[in-house]
Amino acid sequence: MRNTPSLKEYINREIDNLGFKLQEKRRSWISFLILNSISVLLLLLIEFKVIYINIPLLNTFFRGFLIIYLFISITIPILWRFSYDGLTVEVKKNYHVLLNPHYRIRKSKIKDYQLIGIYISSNRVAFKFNKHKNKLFTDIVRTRWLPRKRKSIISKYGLSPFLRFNEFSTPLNFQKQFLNIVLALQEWDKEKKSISR
Amino acid sequence: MGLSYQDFVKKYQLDDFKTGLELRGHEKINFYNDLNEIFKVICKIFDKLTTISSLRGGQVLMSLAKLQTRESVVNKTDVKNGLNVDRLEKLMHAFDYLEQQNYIKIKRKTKKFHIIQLNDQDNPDFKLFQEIVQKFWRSPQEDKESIRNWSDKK
Repeated sequence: MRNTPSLKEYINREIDNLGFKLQEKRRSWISFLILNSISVLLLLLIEFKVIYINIPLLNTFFRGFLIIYLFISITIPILWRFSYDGLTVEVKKNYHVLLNPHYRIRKSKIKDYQLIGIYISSNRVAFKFNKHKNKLFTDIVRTRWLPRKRKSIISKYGLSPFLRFNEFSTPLNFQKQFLNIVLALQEWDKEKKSISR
Repeated sequence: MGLSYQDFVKKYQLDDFKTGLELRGHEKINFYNDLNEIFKVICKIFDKLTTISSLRGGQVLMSLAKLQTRESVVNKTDVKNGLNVDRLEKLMHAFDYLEQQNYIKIKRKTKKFHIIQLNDQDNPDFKLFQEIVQKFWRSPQEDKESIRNWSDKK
């Protein structure tokens, strides 16, 4: 479970106390709408025989493509929803922080989970393969004790080509951890200019 | 009297960059022992801070250590502002706990105005704690001001 109204209210108050504004970002529905409109259109065109392929080999290819496309059109919006939708805070022009609250309803008997957690991540700060920026990023991460990987599957296995700062907090230390990631962005913003020169 | 970082720097003239540091024989042993003593106290401070069971107790102690060096009179609201906490009620438990532990002294001047002080008479290690906090720690209020300035700058 990702969100509860009381947790959202709590985060909102803490962010407000720091002088920023909390915004709710929901962009997964756009990808859902576009991808699924195309799916419906394709299926209608096939149903009314507007698309009709006579060549058996091409027909098999088209069917295969359609099945893959239908699968993607459902999974991408779901993945998007879990990876990028959430609460955002615009800290400066071109810099924002994404908040993903997680609340575990079911208690595990084996593991002692932290019940309420808030994953905090920054926007993409640089391309991973830029050597100088990667070094600066690593330095900031080390000095600020920031976790290197975020919870999403793409980032967990190092598949993302971009660098972004990540932090984890509970409601109790939320403000301090939020300040830590914003200070990391501030440091990045200042130091980045010296690299560009 | 507790161990002091400033006394240590003064004793070996570590802040005098015109002359080189030369330690011979017993001097070197004393230097090594003094350094170890400082680290021992720092470790004790870690231990005490991590065993404060009140949720914001450690933060209250740090904020107080920072404020006390700057201002002669520190009250509960100053600590609350230093920690950028919205309500004083969130810190009440911490104040009570720290008073019980004899880490701080609270002078109740009026019903609402309470002056608080670090109890460095009973806890001599607070001297070093205060010096470290004053020199290296940034309070949430300072962090907030720093990011606000950065955020407002175009």
